[in-house]
Amino acid sequence: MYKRLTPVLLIENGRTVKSIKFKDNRYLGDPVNIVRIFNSKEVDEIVILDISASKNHQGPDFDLVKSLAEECFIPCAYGGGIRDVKDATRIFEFGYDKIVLQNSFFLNRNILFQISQLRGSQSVSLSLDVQTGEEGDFLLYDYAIGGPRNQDLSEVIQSAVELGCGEIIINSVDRDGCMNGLDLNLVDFVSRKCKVPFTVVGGLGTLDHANQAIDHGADAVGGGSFFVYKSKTKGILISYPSQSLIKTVKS
Amino acid sequence: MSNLIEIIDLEVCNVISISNMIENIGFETKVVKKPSSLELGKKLILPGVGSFGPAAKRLKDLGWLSYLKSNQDDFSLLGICIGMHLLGNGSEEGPGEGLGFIDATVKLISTTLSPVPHMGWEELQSLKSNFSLNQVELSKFYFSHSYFMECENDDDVAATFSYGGQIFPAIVSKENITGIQFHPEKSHRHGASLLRNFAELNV
Amino acid sequence: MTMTECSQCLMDSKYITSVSIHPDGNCSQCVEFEKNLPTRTTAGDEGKLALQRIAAINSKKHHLQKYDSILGISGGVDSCYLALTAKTYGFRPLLIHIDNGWNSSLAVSNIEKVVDTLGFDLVTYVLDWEEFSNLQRAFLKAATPDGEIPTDFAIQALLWRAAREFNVKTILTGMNYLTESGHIPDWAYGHSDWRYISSINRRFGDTPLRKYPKMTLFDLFKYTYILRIKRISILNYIEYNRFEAEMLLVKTLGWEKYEGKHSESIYTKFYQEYLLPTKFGIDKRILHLSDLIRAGQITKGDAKNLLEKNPASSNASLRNTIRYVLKRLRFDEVEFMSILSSENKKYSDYPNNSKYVYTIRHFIHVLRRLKLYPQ
Repeated sequence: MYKRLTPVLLIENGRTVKSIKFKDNRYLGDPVNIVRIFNSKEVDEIVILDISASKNHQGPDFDLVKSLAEECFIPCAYGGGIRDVKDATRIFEFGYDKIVLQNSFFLNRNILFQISQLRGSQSVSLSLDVQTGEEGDFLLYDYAIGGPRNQDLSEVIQSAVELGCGEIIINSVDRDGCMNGLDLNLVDFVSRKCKVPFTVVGGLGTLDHANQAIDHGADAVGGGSFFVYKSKTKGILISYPSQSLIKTVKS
Repeated sequence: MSNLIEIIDLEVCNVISISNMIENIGFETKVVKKPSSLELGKKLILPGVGSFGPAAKRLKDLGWLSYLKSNQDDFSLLGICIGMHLLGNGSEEGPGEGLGFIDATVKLISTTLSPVPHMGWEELQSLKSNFSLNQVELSKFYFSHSYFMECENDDDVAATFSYGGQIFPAIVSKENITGIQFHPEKSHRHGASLLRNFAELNV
Repeated sequence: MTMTECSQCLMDSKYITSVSIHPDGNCSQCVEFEKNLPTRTTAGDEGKLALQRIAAINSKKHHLQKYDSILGISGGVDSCYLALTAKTYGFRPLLIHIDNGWNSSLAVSNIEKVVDTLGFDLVTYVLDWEEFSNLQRAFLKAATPDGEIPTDFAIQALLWRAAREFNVKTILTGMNYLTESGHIPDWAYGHSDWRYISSINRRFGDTPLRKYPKMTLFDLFKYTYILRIKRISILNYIEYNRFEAEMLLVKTLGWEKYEGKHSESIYTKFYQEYLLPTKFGIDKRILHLSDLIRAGQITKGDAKNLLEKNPASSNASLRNTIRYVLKRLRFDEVEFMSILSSENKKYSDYPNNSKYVYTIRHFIHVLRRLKLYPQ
């Protein structure tokens, strides 16, 4: 089985950005052409997250979301501002295979159940942002307010799976944009607690990092900076390892 | 016009991706909701995502169950994912009658070695020659499902994939009926080649 | 009957009014080419030696710095070959890519190959899409045949800016007289004219240009005479042959060819293969091929065959390109049709600084002849 290597694209007010530790968002360009390039490179899957929708108390920018789906002949997932089943249905109709929930799940966990009933568990993922606390414990982070969620990570994972979640996407806030390796302790933790596939994101800098995460139990590895920066001067250039290199990510 | 591909829309999944991909490779498509909207009715694609129960219900309520069963010899049919499951007798996943074109029951993937749902890219093992894989690089295709089709006759299985230490059907085929477990519309150029093979089939 | 077609290249004075045919049958572009070639290029070993000297002097000038030059890279054959040449002659450039949102996937992977194989550092300036696409829309509505100006101007402005930001006194350019001698003012002008660009945006645009890289004539003066940043066209020293360049790039970098010249940009493909021929009856391949004929890199017969075999606008990939462009520039069919059928204009129909620019260009040309300005 091939483990997926997944570019994660962040969109803020219609603009593609890349963060470091969830801050200092740097402009990367218009999302439509970026998605088109990833599609041409035949990536395993692409995850598109609108990080401004929930902050602005808005639903998804449906026009943009639709125009992105039109460029995908690869598996694609969308998250950001999905408020209810109606929003989710519209997103599926555009052609997305999966929708990604975060804030609406914490407002009302039942939404996950409803969507998984509608389209099957493989169609809904839960995205969780995690920081490491002082004692090395894992704390859920709320990016919309920039502070802790005060809910237990294990309990949330378990509850999500019971409600029909098909996949957990786990983002390390501390490793975001650092390109110095994924948080393997976090991977170990989630691997023990999570019965469904999970993707770990945050810190991907080399394919070795990806292999390590997979050895520790991750089913897929997501990245941002790894796919958009080139050379130590971080020139913005979309890249994706060639098929021959990807074989090393196979389990 | 004999290459017009009609895509059955049970309204349980988006048909846009398949339609887009086929149009992109240069063939005409039409999305049909009811049998009466069929133009040629010669090349049909039955896509499906989600779960068996609602799909089977729509199949029946929209009149497809009876239409397809009554006209079985008149068309080439390609079922994708839940569409493939609908080609069988029924499913553990939910209530409802399948088309019965392939003698098979749909069951839950049960393995402790790998997580379910199965989401990812797999290589196929081809068991017997099938139009769909003509000149298609046997590279990876994208899967996203929790249930698989268990066939009574090994002959009906054209290609398999392995997952969690077990082997499952990737492509089932009997005469003019074909089912594929994976998503060609998400498998970029490999999927496009497979759909082109279907589009170019002589009916 | 007066001959209107040049006996050497593909220029025809019947269609291109700025070109005239001389008594010997050659067109004015060909005549100018023969006259200018010795001043604009240095051939053979003399050229290679001269370039080695230039590289050495330049390196010494920047000896305490990591980079001794700025090099703009688009993924096209010229800029990739420029990078390869720079490496060969020992330059230490910082590669600058200007991303206008229209990169083809192939351009991006070709740039990646250059960066990875030659071991250069890369910095990218990303144009603000909202402003830039608005400016492209404005140029289309203005109905002039120079709709690539928004990109070309930005590239120029940003390369100067990069040189200033990285404190580097040299910009290596991929311009080469040998294969780019022809120019038709009516087809494209305003590469350095901020007044022209802002007047078009003011009239046809929907957004003010705030993030778009502005560069006035005064900025240009600042860069060249105060900061003393020089542009060196190193391909003018090595008898640049585009076909050989492509082969070498394929061999050394695994570089992949594009369908047409400048197809590294999806917008350029749309503009040159569809818009220019359809709206203005302009086929830029005539210009490019005439350049190559003059350089002795293709025969007139082969060039004519190329033109006939592939009419400027055809094929399914072009249809997809057009669809994509209209989608991204938010044009519906009706609006685009009215643009196509609007009256064709020229740059001179809008406020511009052409008088000043021509004076400056002429001045620089004189300096070149006096060898007071690098080639």
